[in-house]
Amino acid sequence: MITYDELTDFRADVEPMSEQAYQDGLNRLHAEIAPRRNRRWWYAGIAVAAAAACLVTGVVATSGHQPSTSAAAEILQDAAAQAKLKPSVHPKPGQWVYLRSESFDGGVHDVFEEWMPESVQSGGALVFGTSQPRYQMPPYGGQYASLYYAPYGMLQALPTTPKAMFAAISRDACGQARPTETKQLAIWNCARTIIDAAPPAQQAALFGAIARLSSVYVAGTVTTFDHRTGTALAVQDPVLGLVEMVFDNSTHEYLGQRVVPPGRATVDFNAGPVVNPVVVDHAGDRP
Amino acid sequence: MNRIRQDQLTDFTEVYAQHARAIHRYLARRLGTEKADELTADTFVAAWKQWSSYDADRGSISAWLYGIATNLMRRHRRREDAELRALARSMAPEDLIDPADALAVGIDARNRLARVATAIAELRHDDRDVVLLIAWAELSYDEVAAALDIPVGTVRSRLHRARRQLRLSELSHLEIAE
Repeated sequence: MITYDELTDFRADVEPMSEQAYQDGLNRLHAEIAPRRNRRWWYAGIAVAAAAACLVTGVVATSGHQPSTSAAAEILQDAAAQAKLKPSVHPKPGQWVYLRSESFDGGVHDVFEEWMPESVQSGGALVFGTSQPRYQMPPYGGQYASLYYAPYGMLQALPTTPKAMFAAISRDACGQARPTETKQLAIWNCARTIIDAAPPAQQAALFGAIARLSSVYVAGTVTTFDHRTGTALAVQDPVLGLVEMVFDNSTHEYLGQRVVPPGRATVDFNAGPVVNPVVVDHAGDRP
Repeated sequence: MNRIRQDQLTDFTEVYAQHARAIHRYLARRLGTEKADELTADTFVAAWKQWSSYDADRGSISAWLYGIATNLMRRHRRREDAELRALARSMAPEDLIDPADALAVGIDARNRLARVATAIAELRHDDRDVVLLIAWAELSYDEVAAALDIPVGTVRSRLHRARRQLRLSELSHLEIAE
């Protein structure tokens, strides 16, 4: 026979969670959450590729590989010209830039919203999706000092020429380059990670920068999750599979991104572009 | 401007900040701190992935997290059994070699630990989950039902069986609610 107090007291003197264990757990959570941001998702693709168990219902209509860097470069130059036509936003210190896009992630149609601080003083970006709770990114700095965590003001300060942008993202690699990634792949992945949030001038420079990559090729005509037809430019990633940026067939306007895992004919992730960024006063404000 | 409804603005890192230590304590009491470190992180990663399935009408976030933690523990049940039995053996008075141990810890205290460890070890796993979620995590019957995704009636029947087996001297704390 034991008493209830004996039961409740049993191992009640267990050591509390150490600060190290607490921080390690938080870091694991950050690592899990962060990749699901619309413009920062390639690590989610790694998990999906490894598990190879994600429900996918997307349509792919890739019409064969045509390695053609000159054709790819031409499309990217047109995309850069299109990007420059977009309206710019100019947040003041303390303000936020609201970004909205739609995506198709593992069979789920999602609306992604993100509030990027103008400066690091306001904290990290706030992310909100229909199928997930709010997530506050860590602010830029310390172990998070990479373009992956950059506030909007920092993206605005990036170079506006392809050559200088190429150098900038070569140095940074968004802090997430994998050991097995080639330099070209790291640059491609970093560029597409920030391209949706980048201001028009920097987005144009990013298109120009990746036009310098010899590994980018025209993958063919594809259909996006929202039934738009475009031309896919792709780089083959040994882990993720075929990672693509999609451009309008005629104007070459940027239409979003997709990932087709290795050995599969279906899409795991397909994100549309950010539409009309808006300046707001507080994180959580919607226009 | 339309602001997001406040109830939608649950920052998951705040969920971690509010509950990680309690979940860790529960896991550490069952499996030790090292395994608790690992499973606490696993619990919150799993919770993040399942967030869209969380139903506030069925129970608190706390209960939901304890349920996930308990489910994750299931693959470590043999370890828990082994540790409880090892603890019971090591605390048994006949194993005392150094008389100083008896003075330091107290034979009564060691006896008590050995009895409780043995009693918990002998519970069926499903019953043990229910008992310890109530006794250690301080969940209500409804919360245990939500956490383990079982009917409240099943909580009561498991508790009834466990109570008989534990031969708890004070029944009121684990009394079956009518």
